[in-house]
Amino acid sequence: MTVNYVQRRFLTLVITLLFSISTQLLAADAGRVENFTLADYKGEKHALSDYKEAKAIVLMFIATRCPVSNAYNERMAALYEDYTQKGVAFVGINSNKTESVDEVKKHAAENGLLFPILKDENNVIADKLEASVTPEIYVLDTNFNVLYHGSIDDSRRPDQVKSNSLKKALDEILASEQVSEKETKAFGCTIKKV
Amino acid sequence: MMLNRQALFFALYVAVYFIAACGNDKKNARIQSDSYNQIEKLDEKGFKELIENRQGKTLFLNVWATWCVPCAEEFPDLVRLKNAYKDKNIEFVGLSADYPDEIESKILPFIKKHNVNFEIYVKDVASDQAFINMVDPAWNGGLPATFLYDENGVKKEYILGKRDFSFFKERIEQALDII
Repeated sequence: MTVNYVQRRFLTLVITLLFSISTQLLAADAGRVENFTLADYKGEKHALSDYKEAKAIVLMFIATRCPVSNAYNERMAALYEDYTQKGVAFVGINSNKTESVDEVKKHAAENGLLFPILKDENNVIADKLEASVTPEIYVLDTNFNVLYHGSIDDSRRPDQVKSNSLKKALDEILASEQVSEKETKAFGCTIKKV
Repeated sequence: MMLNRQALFFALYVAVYFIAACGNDKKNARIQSDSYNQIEKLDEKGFKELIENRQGKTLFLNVWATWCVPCAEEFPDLVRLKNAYKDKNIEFVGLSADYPDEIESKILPFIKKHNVNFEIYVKDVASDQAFINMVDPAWNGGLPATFLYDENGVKKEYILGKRDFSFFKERIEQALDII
């Protein structure tokens, strides 16, 4: 009887330990972003936690002067329009030290980018996420786990796109499915860091 | 006499037309620019050959694009490097991430402007993803990017972002042992 009790306690301990390790491994594998707060080009502060109610959060590292990022302006605006209605939140982040807040504001207005664009002074968030090019995308769940990382699609020329990787990932998330392609390569201009 | 001249012009016109047509048909056609350079389209097979067919020479491969500002800023130092190492065991190659249909409109004017003195290729692959994987799956896709290979085609160094003459000189000396 005593042995059984000890065995049971030991077994419980082992299971608890294994569960804890596996949870940590899964979290580490997927990658998780810590909550952060940045101001947009209007000076309004946005925390990642402000978007907890969204079905997914799309973080887009973008630029004002990068021709690759600019080639995606229309596609980003269209994605925002389509998927905001489906409960997805979009947040642009400008981490380029060479591009001022005023420039970001003007660029957004000129290109019809209606989602908030946050200014990442000293590229703190780009460094935390290890973002290195524009455009570069991170899709998070409401616990800020990274569900998708990489490009918007596979060509800066819209007529040559063969794989709409971001759109596909969002559709899978909205359908409560596993994201089939979690990682693609973002191609573009290097983020101009301090 | 008049007839002979007309016939001569006609023959010349036909010859020029056929030479141009043959050039267009040829895969990976080299296009002769006014300056030093020729621009060749590079697909996965061609890239593999470039890396593997070293013929005893090390390779300095710079990946760039005409739209990339830091790439343009880096080019004068690359031209300087090529001059500094012209008698050494190292080949300098630039691989443009522009599109093959931009050779005439963008790439040739760029290499003329920067007096490029080494061979330039342009990517000829299906997608950005394919381009990154062709060059190096470890590359994050940012430009400019420079890769150093030894004489056996083994990658020795991957350098991301704009660098200067001194930085590259040091890396060539250390990674490729070329003084």
